Amino acid sequence: MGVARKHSNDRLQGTLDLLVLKTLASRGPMHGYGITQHIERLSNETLRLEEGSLYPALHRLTHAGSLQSEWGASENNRRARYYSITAAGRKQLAQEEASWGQLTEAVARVLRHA
Amino acid sequence: MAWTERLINVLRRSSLDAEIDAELQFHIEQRTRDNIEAGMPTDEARHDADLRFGGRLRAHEQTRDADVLVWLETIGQDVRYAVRNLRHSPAVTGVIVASLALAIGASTAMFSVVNAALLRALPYADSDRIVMLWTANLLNGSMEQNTSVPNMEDWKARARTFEDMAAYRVSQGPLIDRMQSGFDTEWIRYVTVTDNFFSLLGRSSAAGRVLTREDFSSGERVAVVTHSLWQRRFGGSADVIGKRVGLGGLDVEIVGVMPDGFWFPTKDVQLWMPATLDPAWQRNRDNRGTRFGIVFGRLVRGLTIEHARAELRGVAAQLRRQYPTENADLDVNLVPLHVQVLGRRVPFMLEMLFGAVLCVLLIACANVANLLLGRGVARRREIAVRAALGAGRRRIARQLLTESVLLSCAAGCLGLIAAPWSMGALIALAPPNIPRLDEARIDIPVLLFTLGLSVVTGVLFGLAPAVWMSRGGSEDLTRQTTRNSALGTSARMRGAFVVCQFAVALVLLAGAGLLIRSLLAVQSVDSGFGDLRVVMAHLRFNNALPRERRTGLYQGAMDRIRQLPGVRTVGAIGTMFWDGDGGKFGLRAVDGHADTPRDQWESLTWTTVSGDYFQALGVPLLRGRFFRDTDTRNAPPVVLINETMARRYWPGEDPIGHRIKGFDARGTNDEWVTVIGVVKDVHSRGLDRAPAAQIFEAQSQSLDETENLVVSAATSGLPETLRRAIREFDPTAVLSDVSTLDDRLVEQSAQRRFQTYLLTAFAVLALLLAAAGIFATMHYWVAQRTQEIGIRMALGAERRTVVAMVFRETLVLAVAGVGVGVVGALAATRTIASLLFGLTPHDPATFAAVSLGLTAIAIIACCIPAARAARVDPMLALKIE
Repeated sequence: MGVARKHSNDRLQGTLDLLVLKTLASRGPMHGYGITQHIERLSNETLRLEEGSLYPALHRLTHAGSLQSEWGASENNRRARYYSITAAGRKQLAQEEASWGQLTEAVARVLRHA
Repeated sequence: MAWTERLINVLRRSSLDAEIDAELQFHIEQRTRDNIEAGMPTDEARHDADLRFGGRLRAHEQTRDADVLVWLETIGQDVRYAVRNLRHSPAVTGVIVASLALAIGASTAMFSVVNAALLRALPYADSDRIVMLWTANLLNGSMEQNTSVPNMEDWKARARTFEDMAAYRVSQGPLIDRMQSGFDTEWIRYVTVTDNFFSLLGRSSAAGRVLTREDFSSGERVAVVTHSLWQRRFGGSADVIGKRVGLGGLDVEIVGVMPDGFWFPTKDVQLWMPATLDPAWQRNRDNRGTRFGIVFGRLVRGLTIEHARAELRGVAAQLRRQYPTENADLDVNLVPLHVQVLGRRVPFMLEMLFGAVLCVLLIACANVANLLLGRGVARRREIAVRAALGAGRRRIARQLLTESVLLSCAAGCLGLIAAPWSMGALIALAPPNIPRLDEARIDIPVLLFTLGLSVVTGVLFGLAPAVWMSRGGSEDLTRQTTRNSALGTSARMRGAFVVCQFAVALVLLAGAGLLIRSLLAVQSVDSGFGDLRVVMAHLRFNNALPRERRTGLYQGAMDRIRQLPGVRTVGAIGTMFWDGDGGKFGLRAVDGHADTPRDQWESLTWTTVSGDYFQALGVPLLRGRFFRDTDTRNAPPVVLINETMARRYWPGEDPIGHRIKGFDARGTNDEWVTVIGVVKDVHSRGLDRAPAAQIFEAQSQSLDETENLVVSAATSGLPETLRRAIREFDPTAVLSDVSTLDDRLVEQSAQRRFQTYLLTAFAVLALLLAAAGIFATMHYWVAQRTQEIGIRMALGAERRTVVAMVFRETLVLAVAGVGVGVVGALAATRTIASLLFGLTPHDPATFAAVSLGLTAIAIIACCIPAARAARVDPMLALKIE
């Protein structure tokens, strides 16, 4: 998967992907605004995304087959695009979670012992 | 999002932009609303939402790039990956591309012919609304007779299903240009037409003008010529407009040139002029009893030929009642123009051959699918790894399909490169009766066809392997059992492919076998002509000369030829290879016989001969005598008849001395003529058709001319001396179609040879591909069972048993394929019954031969795999896994 590989070096991008995948895996279909709100709430407003940067990521993940999207009605009956995770997306999530774990563990170890 | 949707996205960027906009807009509005609910003033709420969102334009563009680029990138990836994979196994790739290129190339060539002859519209406006209207004769079954001008005008006035009707009369004559020195007189066909001829066809001229209504009322001597005549005889120069040329006894001024590619009614007609210049028109304008020419019309838009047929039948019935003398037994026969142009035999033949070539393509597809499945076994692990790494099933299937479409498109390109040659070969081999074949070329429709065919074949042969392999991807890598059962599925699938290939190959072989046997049977028919090296030629004198002058010229020319060195005998005949239009005739009277009832009428021809016609052709006299010099206009009229005629009217009797009345010599149709001799039958209608009954009269007692010379000579350079002698005899005489009798007979069976050769070539191709298919299948079969064979051998099985196992497996597949094929062929060959000669479409010998032959080929093809199986080393085989 050339696209995923290309972006996996970009840690920040990879983090955003990871957060999006995780959010959708645990919460089911959501629209982009809902994803933003969810991430902000859970991180106690620590992770404040530049909200516009979410959408290229959502579309890229959709084309990579990790997400699928369809138009639906929002809570206040507006037309909104809803994203949900696919089987391939769950696999990617597992991988990224594992590598995130390794990374944070490695960083933590360095911080502890340095 | 499906990839089709993505494609639409690329093509329709604006709708993509609108979607992205809507999505981003929703986000910002939602944030603004939440801000307001949290207590912010409206302005601040909106400002905060924009701020948090960041650059909206940039977000939009990046999102759109993700949509478009990701898609393009994955396609690019698939293609790169496919190329890498295909380069890994150059042998398999080469075999696949070569066999597909062969099949696609043949299909492309065949399609270019079908396209030119059958599909491309005729060069007239709305040509599918143009219909030929023939006078039909209810009495003798003639379906295509000329029509009188008053009848045509009544049809036109009474029919509401036709917008317009026009008529033309085909004539011929020498084209003379007195102003141009060294202008070889050429015999051309031209037509005289009614004033609405060009407007009905809906085409205008390329230079000058077409004929107008004024030309008809003024009686101006004007003509319009074809583009090819203009190019060929006038160098394509613009000053041809206004030029005067001689045509027979008429001087006409050329007023227009039609566009390139325009012709009507046939391609050999070179010139059109007003009917008012035609003596036949002037004579017959108001005469319902004499037929002027051929009628065609344009249907009212939206109506079918059935509507018109029903209406015109009614009109013809009215006219029969109204004019019982002239119109007794006359009906009308409507034929769509394209059917008239193509005839009935050519479309059928082309469709059959096109179907055959597509069968070959199917077999090639099955082969390729087979090879890909075989390779898929080896690639299973790689695919399972890709699947484990997160590639979706559809993505893997798409990847595999990309590979097969890449293969087929490469093959399509090769096929297209070879197409001009294969097309050239096809056209060179084609019989002369396929109209518009000269228009065959690689054009846009042909390119689209090849492109479409390549993609469709790619999907067709790629689909089964792609589905099978991508399904395998989701299975556990480590589970050996699933792997084996999957192998079983692939083996069954490949077995099914082989059975199908054999079945289709058998159908083609059976068809080819039947055609070959028919061709051989036709070629072994005795034509009845004693000497096939006789030279034939068409000799015509200026048709403006009085009849007596022309008769004298023919006599003079024959005398002159007789004196040429090496010439033995010279004769001539009015119509030699008469084909008729299905008309059946009876004699007016036969002495000592009751009249023949009309339902017993048969085809019958009445022809004029002169000189030593029969002697020159080596047609023996069976009874009586040939014509003598004493059979003159003043002597009692006499005729010769052929065997068929003698058998029909005087079975078991001697016809000599009997008298008949028919179309008689002096044009009164009521004179007794005496039979003086019987000649042997000749197959003048083609070797595959029974000779028609024939009556011959002497030119010295007839009104007809004998334009077809037959010259028997001992020298080889006769055609050239003949041309020179005629030129010296009369410079305005036109000698054409010089060839040997043998060439003429060969030409008569040209279509039969063409269809036989081509179907045989396709069948052989199918046979080779099917043989390759079963070879590859058995090869994989043995490879997969190396271990099993090793175990069997280790347990004491003999090599003979192992070999028998391979042969048994082969035979099961081959016999199943042949069985299915025989059933299919029994149905398929019935459709070509009309192409066969001397055997039934279910000819047991042919079926037995092709079935046995195909089985034998299967056995030969699996010799190498069998030998490989026999060479398996039990120890090595057991070590493999």
